[in-house]
Amino acid sequence: MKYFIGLSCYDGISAECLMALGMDGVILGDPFCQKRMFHYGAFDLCEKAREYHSAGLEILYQTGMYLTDRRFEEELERAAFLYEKCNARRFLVQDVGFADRFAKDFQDADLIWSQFGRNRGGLANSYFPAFLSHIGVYSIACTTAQRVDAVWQSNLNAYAVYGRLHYHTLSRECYNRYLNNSFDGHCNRECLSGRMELQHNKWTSTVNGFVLGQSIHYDVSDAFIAAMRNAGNVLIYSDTIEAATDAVTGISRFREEKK
Amino acid sequence: MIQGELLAPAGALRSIDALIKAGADAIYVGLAGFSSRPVSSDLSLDEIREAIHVCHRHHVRLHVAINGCISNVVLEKLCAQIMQLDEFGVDAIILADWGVIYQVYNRIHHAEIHASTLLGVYNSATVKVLQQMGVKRLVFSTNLYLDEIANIINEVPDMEYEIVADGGICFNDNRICELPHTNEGANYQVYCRQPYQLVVGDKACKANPIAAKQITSNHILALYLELGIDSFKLEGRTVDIEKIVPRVKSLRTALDEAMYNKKETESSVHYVCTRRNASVLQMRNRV
Repeated sequence: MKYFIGLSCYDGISAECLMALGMDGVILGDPFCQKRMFHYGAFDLCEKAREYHSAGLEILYQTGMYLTDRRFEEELERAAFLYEKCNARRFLVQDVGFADRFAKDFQDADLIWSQFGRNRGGLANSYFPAFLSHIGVYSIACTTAQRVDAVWQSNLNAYAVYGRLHYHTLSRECYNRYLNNSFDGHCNRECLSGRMELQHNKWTSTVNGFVLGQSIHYDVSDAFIAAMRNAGNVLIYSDTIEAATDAVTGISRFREEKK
Repeated sequence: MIQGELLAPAGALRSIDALIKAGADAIYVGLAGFSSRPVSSDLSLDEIREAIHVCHRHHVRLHVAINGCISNVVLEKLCAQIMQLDEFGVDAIILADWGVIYQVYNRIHHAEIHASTLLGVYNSATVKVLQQMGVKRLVFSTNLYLDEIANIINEVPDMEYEIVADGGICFNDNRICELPHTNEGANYQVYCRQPYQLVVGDKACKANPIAAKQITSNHILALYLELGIDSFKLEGRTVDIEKIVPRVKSLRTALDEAMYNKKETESSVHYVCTRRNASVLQMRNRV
């Protein structure tokens, strides 16, 4: 069993910080906007990957959503770069065409169907895992205990997601730009400020770049903890290194039992 | 299929005649229990068989939407019904689940498989995967830009393409949305349609609406035809037929104008392709 940490932003995060958490690997790549996760965007992603890989952390690359033909080849090249130069062998995928292409070229890569992967009804039925196997995807990121069970029954590998990215709506358009259009070409990463909220009398949503979301949600139910035991690997998401420390502490008892 | 197909929605068997008279080239209905709309606007297998007869008598195609969430419990039942629809002679089945497409594509003999907009297809590589599974037509995601649509069509020209030309639009992602859609008492609450306050620090102001208004693409149909769009869909299976018919007639008129008024077509395409207005290239296909 391996543990991977995924932060919302990697500014100033050293490999030592991540290794101090007891992580085996690190999840790099923002599903929506690299500028949000890395100060210098995609260039920074590759630099960070080299740095963390050199320090002994395994790189798990999270590919993007909305891979239109404009971005498709660039994303393939980046994934191939991380495979070749940083020994990345695990890739979270959310696009069928990307998974199909990448699986053919890099047959020993473990492609993990992301929680954001698009299919009507998610993993509602057993036909979908069969389709994923057909295109070369043999692992699925699971946000619920039921999904972990369903994946195991499908004879695929389950990655338990601890700290589900709890987005409530998605769009290709940066919400800050949509609403304010005030950045005049430079967004200043306003989405990271955490200052903006959309409030309704019964509903509040943080305004987080491309998405309207809420805080990362940690499922601490007995059922999910049990599911993590069953899953092959755990993906832990967190906004900050401090919150990551708390999250890891939260599951430390389970990790000790596992050892 | 004819070029510039007008695909109209029927929420009841009795609506079919009115839609044909209004100028529909094809009509789509939901399969009871398996569409993304309430059962009250779906048709049973028997009703669909009757609808096929009515449509084919007027040389109009009938498509069946199976775009709801399909659980394990109903998988076998659904597959059996798809085979029945195929035997009835339905012209196309619109599917929104990768797994279901994968399971049934080589068991269907007559009907075409159309990939729903809910599959979220964004690139030509994904279109090729669909094509390998025998899918005949792709309904484009509603948040693709014009140049992205053009590129996909250019890369995979031997596929039919459809857009939602008239209907609702979400700011979010093709209804793959986790904002609450709940029944609160007698009211159906869709939270994206509620008024929001944007709060920045200690300041608050009225936020832009999250859900956009209903839109029509009638004014740029000529451009879509030149791009290679084959079919133009109206949404509204849950809408009263009295409200749908005028929209069908309006789209019919606009389509005929776009198809037969060559001058207007060339003008639209020239306007966009010469980059006189860069913002047009950035225009979402349904805005």
